[in-house]
Amino acid sequence: MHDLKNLTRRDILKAAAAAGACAALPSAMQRAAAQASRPAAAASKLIIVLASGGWDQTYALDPKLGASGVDAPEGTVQRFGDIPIHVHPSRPAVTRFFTRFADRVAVINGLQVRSFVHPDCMKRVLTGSPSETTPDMGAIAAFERGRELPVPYLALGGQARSGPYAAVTGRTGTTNQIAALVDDAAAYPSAEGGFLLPDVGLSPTGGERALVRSYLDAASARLAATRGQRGYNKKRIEDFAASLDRAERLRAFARDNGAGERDYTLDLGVQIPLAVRALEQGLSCTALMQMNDWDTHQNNARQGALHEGLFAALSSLVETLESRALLGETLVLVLSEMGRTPKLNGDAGKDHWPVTSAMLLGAAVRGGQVLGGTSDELDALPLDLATGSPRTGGEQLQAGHLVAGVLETLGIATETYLPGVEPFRAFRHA
Amino acid sequence: MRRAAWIACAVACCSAAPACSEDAEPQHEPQAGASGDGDGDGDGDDAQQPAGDVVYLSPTQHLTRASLALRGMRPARDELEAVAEDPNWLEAIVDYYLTTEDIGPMVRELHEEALLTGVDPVIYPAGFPALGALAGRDLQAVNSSVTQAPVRLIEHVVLEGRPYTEIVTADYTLADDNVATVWGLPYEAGGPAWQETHYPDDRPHAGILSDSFLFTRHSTTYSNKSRGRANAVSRALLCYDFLSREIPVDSTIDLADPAAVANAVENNPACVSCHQTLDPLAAYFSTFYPIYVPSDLEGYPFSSYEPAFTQLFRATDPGYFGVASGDLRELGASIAEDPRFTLCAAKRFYSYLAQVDLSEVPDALASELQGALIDSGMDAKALLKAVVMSDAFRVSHARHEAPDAVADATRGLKRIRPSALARSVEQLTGFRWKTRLPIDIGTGGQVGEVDLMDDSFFGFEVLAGGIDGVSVTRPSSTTSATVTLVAENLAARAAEHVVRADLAEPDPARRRLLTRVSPTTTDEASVGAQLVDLSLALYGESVEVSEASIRDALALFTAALGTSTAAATPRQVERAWQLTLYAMLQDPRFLHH
Repeated sequence: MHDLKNLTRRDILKAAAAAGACAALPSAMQRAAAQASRPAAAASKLIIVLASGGWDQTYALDPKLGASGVDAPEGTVQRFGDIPIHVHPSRPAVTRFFTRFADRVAVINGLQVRSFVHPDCMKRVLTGSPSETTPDMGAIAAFERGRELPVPYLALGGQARSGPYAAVTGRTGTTNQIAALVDDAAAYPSAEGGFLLPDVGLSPTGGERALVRSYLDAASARLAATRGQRGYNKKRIEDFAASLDRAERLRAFARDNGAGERDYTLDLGVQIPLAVRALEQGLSCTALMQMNDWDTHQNNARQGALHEGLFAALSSLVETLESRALLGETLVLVLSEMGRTPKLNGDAGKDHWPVTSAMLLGAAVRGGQVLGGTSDELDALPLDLATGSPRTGGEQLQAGHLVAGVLETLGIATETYLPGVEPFRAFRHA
Repeated sequence: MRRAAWIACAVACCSAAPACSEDAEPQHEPQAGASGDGDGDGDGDDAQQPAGDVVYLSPTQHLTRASLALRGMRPARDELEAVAEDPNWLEAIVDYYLTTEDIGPMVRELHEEALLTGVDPVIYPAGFPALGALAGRDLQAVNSSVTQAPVRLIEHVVLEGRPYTEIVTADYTLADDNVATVWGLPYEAGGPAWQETHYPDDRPHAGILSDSFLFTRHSTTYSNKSRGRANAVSRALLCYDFLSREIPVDSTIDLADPAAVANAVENNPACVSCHQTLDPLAAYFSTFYPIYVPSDLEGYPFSSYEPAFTQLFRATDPGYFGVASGDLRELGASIAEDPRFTLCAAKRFYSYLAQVDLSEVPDALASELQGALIDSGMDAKALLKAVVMSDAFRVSHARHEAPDAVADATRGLKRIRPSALARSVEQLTGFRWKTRLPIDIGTGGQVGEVDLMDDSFFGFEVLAGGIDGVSVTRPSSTTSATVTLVAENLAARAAEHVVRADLAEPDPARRRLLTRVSPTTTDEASVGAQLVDLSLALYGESVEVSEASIRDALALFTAALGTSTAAATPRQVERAWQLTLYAMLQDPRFLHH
């Protein structure tokens, strides 16, 4: 029986060795990866913080005070080193964040998403591709960097697109319903049994779980011997066996750290400690966090409170990563799938806009800089991809460039996943 | 009764069933030797099969795979026994399956994966509030109906044996009471729950192409000009995805500038190559309401068809891949006549049933299956049968370390889909994992009953490897940590449920699984015999009590008793059976086929 409470040193070494050997595994994708030159990794972990619904970048990252083509929020523009940020007394967390961390942050403005529809934009900013089948950068990074970890890709929000890398993805669910699977107290009540009591079924003891685990290990070995000795079947049975371990460790992790409430909060306050501990304890190497409700078609002023909440959480995230000595190896990407229109609509809201902003910090990031830019009408300015500086006749910075840049920073050959897409490198140290 | 049903089916289908034709060669030729060893032990002994790259399933394994793929349920005991005796019964039993409504959920799910309409009911792009004429109804039920409407029409076409092309040419739509209320359709109370009806507005009826929810799910904007809708239809029905085309995109075009975009799609060669076909196709859908916003709804019916918007939400006149044409009806006819439609159906059916990515369905196989569909007069059931009776479908495993291309094409082991896991567990144990949520999520009314294996907002469908049609659009065919957790939790509840119910039932004939033991039975012979029965019911394997798998299960049962068999109390026996079934329901043989 495996120790449910702690990862042992042996477990970690085993995982690390397996992860190191993964390039030898036979698959078309891996062979292609092997053929491409693998860049040096400047980061080994990835955290994606997603403001889902479309943020109004003019509330902080892309100030437009005085721009005739933009209905900008009240406030002032304050420079934090070389980074101008829109601030307002009602959003002290924004000011506090940049006061403390601006020298580690690279802001990207004028990121062209090329769509107006939430799902399509989400797909594009997370995968860098318009295709339905490309996995997102979190899944790719998890597969390439830590596929033997218990839950290589911890998907704390609903937007993860793991595609062919589903086996390395641990989803918590849109309403964090994974809590109902790992914590009896969070289980749903039966449809017939009244509204109050969780229905947990058998609820086996630790000893009983050990008995069942032995039975399943033997069953798995028999199936492997008869139908799973090679190729696709072998991988399926290996995934089955590995997932028994992964599930146990996920359950243990949730027991020790909490699984959060089963509720539609997608609260970064809950997600950040979970994600950081998962990275710290070797449960995962990538995590997707998600904050919802940014789709302010009505009352766009709600963006103020949303920004305040986001940046308060980001301060907490950076502080926590720093205190655990993880910031130096973790690349943090903060983004939203779209921006919001320059002008207010009839409901004092703002609609979908195909240009957005992003922010990077942590491992390898050259902080204190703004890359790209937008016009006074919030159109994306073309830029020099190499330097990130706006340049007439340059290229539009697209999601594919950014995703490729993130993957390359993690030591992943981007040509395998985004062929022909030039990685955006300007956010990194030379 | 059931046996009689499929025997009758075999007789009725005599001309096509080799088992009842004296001079017919068995169509399932490998049953006599080239397939599995036929001993029912599930090992598909290689020595019993001719040389080749792959080893085929035994006939009983093949039946199990076909049954799970088509119905999401395991074969009945008498069906397994018949096929074990004579493999030629397999085809007759598959024919029988295809006459039943049991295939309905599969038909719906297959097409939900294509159309991406199987979204979580209570949230956008569904989330129709329970107000006005819907006040007091459960949100989950109302919105499940609305989202299912297009695939209910397809299910109707398939189950009724109508030409598959009718899914894009039908001069009717399908609605239940909820759907009729939302869209304002005539509905006959007291008639079938889902019945043929018509939109009362001026829209031409063309099967799912006229469906209001299809174009609520796939919305559009002034700038998009219905292109997303066109691509959704093209991708689903023609397997032609404009977004997957590898063309050089001119990134100097500012997409935030509508004038620049309009100019580019007409003049820029990189854009024109797609837009000259995409934009006319999109024009057909410009009459549907662009974007539905739940909070704007004040009551029902909701008008989803707005001819006044036509010019606003189209970039050009309608046309089908270079051929100018008129309305949705003509579009439906064009699609029905397009060879890509039948080829795409062949690919999608095989992709779904065999769990092979659409892009990896071998061309020759797709062409062969397309032929089966066309030759049958567009009978989707003939296509379903052709898929599950094909050699590619019944591969167990590779014989050698095969090149990747071969391995990818054969892909033997299938992990059970979440829907099939839920149905087969319900079939065997009587347990369906549901909850009732008497909560208001801000849209009026309570959520109501939620099937936790068929929902991803509250439930576990995505965590179990399924899709939600928005964030997760491709199912997973392997096992992850959350797949394991879902299977384990489901097993814990189902095992507890069925053992308690069975052991409380004095008449063994009325029990579901534990027909050979009582709450005081602990002798090894009886328990072993029960485990042999369970092996047949759960895995389709007919094995001896001396088999390693039975010995392991027996050891688990004995250890779970926690005491000597002689001293065990009825409560301990019940617990031991619960634990044993809990394990057996997580066995990789139950979760794969």
